Amino acid sequence: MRAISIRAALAADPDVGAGNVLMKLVEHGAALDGPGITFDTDLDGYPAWEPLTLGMLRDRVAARAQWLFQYGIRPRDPVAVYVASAADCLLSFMALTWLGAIPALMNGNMPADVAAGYIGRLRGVGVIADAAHLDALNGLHLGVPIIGDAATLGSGDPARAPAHYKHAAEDPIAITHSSGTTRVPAAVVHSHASLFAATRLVHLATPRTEHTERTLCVLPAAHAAGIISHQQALCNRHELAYLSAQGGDGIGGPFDGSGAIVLDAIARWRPTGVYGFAVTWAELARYDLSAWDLSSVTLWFNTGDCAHEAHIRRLVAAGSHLEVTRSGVVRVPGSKFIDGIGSTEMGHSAFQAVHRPGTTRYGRCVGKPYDFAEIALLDLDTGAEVPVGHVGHVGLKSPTLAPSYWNDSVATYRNRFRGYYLTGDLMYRDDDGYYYHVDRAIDSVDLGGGNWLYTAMSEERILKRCPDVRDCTVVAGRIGGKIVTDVLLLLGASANSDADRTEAVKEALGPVAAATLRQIDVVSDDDITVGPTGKVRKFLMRQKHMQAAAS
Amino acid sequence: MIDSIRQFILDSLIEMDCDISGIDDNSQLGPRGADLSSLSLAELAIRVEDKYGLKFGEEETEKLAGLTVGEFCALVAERTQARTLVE
Repeated sequence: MRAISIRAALAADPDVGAGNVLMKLVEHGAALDGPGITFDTDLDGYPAWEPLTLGMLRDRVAARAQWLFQYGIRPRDPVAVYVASAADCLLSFMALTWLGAIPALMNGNMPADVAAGYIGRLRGVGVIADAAHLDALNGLHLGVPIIGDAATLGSGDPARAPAHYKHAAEDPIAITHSSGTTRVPAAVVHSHASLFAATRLVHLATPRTEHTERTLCVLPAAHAAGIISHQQALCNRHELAYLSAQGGDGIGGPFDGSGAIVLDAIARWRPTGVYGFAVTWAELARYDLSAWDLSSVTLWFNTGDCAHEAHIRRLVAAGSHLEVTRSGVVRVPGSKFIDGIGSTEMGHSAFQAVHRPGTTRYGRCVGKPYDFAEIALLDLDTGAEVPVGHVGHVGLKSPTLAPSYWNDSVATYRNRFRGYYLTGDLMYRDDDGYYYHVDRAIDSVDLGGGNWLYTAMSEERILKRCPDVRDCTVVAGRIGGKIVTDVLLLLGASANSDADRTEAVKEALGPVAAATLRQIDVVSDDDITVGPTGKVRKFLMRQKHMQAAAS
Repeated sequence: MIDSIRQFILDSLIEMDCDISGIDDNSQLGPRGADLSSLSLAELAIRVEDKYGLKFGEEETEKLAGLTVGEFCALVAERTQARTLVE
């Protein structure tokens, strides 16, 4: 009998987890000249876009581990990492977990004043930052010292790195933060086992696919998705190029140039799979994709928020994929889009929906749950599950779930209900077992008489009815005791800004919500408040819009 | 019959450029054994369908990865005999 593959060996090793993937790969015999990670920035003398082998990657991580150990970092030390590049973020993560410390990864787009408060609340031992973020933090009270510039950590001696820390399943291996509906990001702790659970149960247990053999990752590296995606690629021994800051500048700048950066990266790297958050697909909607060579792409993978049909259809029309026919394997036009709604706290997407050219199950369908995820759609008043076709609060039981918020047991327990973690989403299920996301609970508005305005579902319908609209945001609030709804449209390049879209928008809202429609505004990107991952901050948008309206 | 099915499967894998070194009846078709890709599993299923006049559903093909070579041979033999009896 032949020796099992390294994928199977990793899946079967109970000691492998999100804290020791690099060490375990080497221990299980992965070739050191096999794929490591390719970064879009220079790293320790290696130029941007030069693929690092696994051996080079381990060497660069060991150098940082030695530097940090010499500085005095020890197991259980929480260390904030506030950087822009994927290389600085992921190598700092790997070096800190090498020591058994707890990297608190921060999105470089987080404003410095918010970052300072966040760092203070971590009650950690120090901060690693890059030059731009050190400048930004200058003069702000952090409560902890600056450990060093991320660029200098690579000057450590890899040969003198201490032995890798041996993690237990429940050991904390990272703190990441949510985008937040307000300006305050929530710190979430992930364990060695929880953040690796989906990799073990799904991504190493299923057959190899061509889709991810060569991946371009546009996910934000500092988030749970960043850790999971790079570890999946490493464990599957796939080639991975990691784009920094989702194609943005990574220091708080807007995302409006990121689409071209992503398209250029696809042309350069020729990936089979492209991973991103919803903002990336919305940004790609600025471009005529037929003008770009996307033929290498067989798969687009979305996580975070559910993606919009209007954006997905454009993507699956591009690219190509291999198909098995009775006359052999042939390459045919068109690609696949996997939509995997998830969040920091969920620790991985819990659902998976697959779209291809010709598939029609849209309408914010998020597919079916993974086998590892137990879902209940709950009525929080009665505690009962809602019937098929009725909207309920999503409750999740999953081995991927983050154990808790960091330093915030109130938030930890407030989001638990009958043994489930409440994701904060509202969904319904159809007769065939498919789930549909209608809104975030906090963004939905009770219109009375059993009627609700679901802002996310309304946006989906508006985009479907108005193909010249690139993206939109529905903002609803109460003014003088009356609910009013404003619809903000970001237009595509060829759209007529004077066109009257009132009927299409009213139809999308439905009659009850349409009666609350106050105005339809064509806005610019500057008018939309987004968080560090490009997610629209509706709470702030609502405040801003309603205050402006009231005055 | 099992022997001829096994031989057909192994011959097919060779024609498909799959590595069959060390593969025996106890080897799983998926990651814990032959480590066939999803495309190779789909192609193998089609070859077996054509050879033995069978039909695997899409979900069934996806689950073939969890079967060993021996279990897959037994499944094909069982389906073939059932089809022969019906005819």
